[in-house]
Amino acid sequence: MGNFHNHTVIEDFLLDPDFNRLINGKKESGVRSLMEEYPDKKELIRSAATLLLYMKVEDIELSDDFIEKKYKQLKNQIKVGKRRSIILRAAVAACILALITSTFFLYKYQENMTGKQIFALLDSTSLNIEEISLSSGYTHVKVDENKKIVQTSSGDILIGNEEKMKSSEIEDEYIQLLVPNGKRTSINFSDGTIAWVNSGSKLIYPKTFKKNKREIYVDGEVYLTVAKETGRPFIVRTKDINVSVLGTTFNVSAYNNDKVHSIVLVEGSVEVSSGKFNSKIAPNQAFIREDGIVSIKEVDTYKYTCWKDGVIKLENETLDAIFKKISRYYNVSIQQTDPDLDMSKEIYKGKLDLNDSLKIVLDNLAHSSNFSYKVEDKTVFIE
Amino acid sequence: MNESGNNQEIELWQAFLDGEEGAFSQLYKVCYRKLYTYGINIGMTSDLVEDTIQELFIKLYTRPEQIKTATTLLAFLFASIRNSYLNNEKISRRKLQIDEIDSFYFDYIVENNPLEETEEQEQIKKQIAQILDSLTSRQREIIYLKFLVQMDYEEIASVMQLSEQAARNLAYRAIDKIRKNHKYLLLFPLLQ
Repeated sequence: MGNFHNHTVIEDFLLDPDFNRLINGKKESGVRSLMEEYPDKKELIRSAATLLLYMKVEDIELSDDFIEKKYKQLKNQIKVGKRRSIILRAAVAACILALITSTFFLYKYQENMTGKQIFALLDSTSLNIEEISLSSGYTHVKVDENKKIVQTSSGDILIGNEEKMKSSEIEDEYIQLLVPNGKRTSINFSDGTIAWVNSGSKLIYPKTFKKNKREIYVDGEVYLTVAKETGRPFIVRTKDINVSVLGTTFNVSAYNNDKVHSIVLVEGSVEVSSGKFNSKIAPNQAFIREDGIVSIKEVDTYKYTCWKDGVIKLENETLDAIFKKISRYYNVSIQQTDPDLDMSKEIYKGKLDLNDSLKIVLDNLAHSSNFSYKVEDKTVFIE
Repeated sequence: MNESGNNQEIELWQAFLDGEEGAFSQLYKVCYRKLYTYGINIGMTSDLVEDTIQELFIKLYTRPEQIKTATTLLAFLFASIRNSYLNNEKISRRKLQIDEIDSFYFDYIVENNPLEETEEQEQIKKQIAQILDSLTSRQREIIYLKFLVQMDYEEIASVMQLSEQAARNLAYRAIDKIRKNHKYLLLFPLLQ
């Protein structure tokens, strides 16, 4: 038995592993004999024992069967990670584990998955990564910001003219492109369509486009010039809106965590559908969905597409919306410390050149309105 | 060799790395409840915990060479669950500065003791709940890790991202608070 002579306060007992073992093991009988052995510490021993004996956490009901089942599921998931089918959980938002040494892209996309299932997985994919990443199943590559991604007609993937993924290495049906805040990239698809992808976006596209349609899935913002192909429309699917085009140039802004989603047509012809709504829009028109309400209006398309050139054109923008864009572009978090500053009413005109440093951009903005700011690490505090 | 009782996991992990059959499934079963309970206590939903545990073990199985633990494997697993939850919170709340778990809670139950009366057990439960309420989230978490998961300070430090000394200080502060409030427990005649 342990030596408890030097124990004078309750912590001494509580933190003594020998005492712990005794209590957990012999429980009352152990305690009683201990109290007999150290009569002067009777009260201490009794209190400490009471605490330890009563401090049992409520065992969440997990039967051995349940754990057995989960293990089988695990084995299955590991096995199919090497083949092509997968078990899916449709609606739940899981989170992707970012372990100490690397990020791990788990989810795989099955051929006949519904859009809903794809978006559920997209939703649960984390953008908390440092670099732009292109992945398919267990294969993944990091993409340097200044290099173009090109998918050749044979299905190989080149980054900056270097072959990075052979078509045969791509095991999965779909390829996933993740662009974290602070980065942008562009990708050429095998049919010649080019997509510029803005910060904070996730894009999923099939390794090979289907015979009757070319379909991609987007959560974020992309600007596309679609190669014309009669009989095979190009379809951009976002969570609530689908855009179908034959050959055209347009901008899709559908960040899952934005209130306003928009499709802006620069030239060509597109058909937009969202819920029960279905209509074609003409060049210089925008389809807008806000809080479930849809509308079409004439717009200055440059306001919506200028991000591609690294510019934000401000025209009747609220401070709130501007900060959101800055936050994504520069990958900083913006927090308001002065509660009196109304960010939803301020209206701005002008333009921000995002090729400038964050400081210059903020200086310009702060100058034309009444706020001051402070940058600490990756957070901007607005006063 | 660390002092905690969490060597079983290390042995099983080593056995798995050595190619022993059945070691991995043993490891999974041994860890599951502990990780699950911890995840729930941090504030994850049951679906989220289940998925996180699966992902964690898939990674253990398929990329074991990438697992670098500063201390015991169990501490590593706990730390992974914790980080996973925090990362998830960062994204859903869109703040980069979250590194605290601010809602750690767990319920104590009274061990079934035929000599005790249920009403008394209820009372004790209430007292213990009161004591827990008086602690901060981190203090509760460290009490949980120290006494219920039986981690040593080195392990706790790596789970909660503290220095060992800071962990000790935190534990002592928590116990101090418990000591100040525990007088009520003395009134209950657990042991004659």
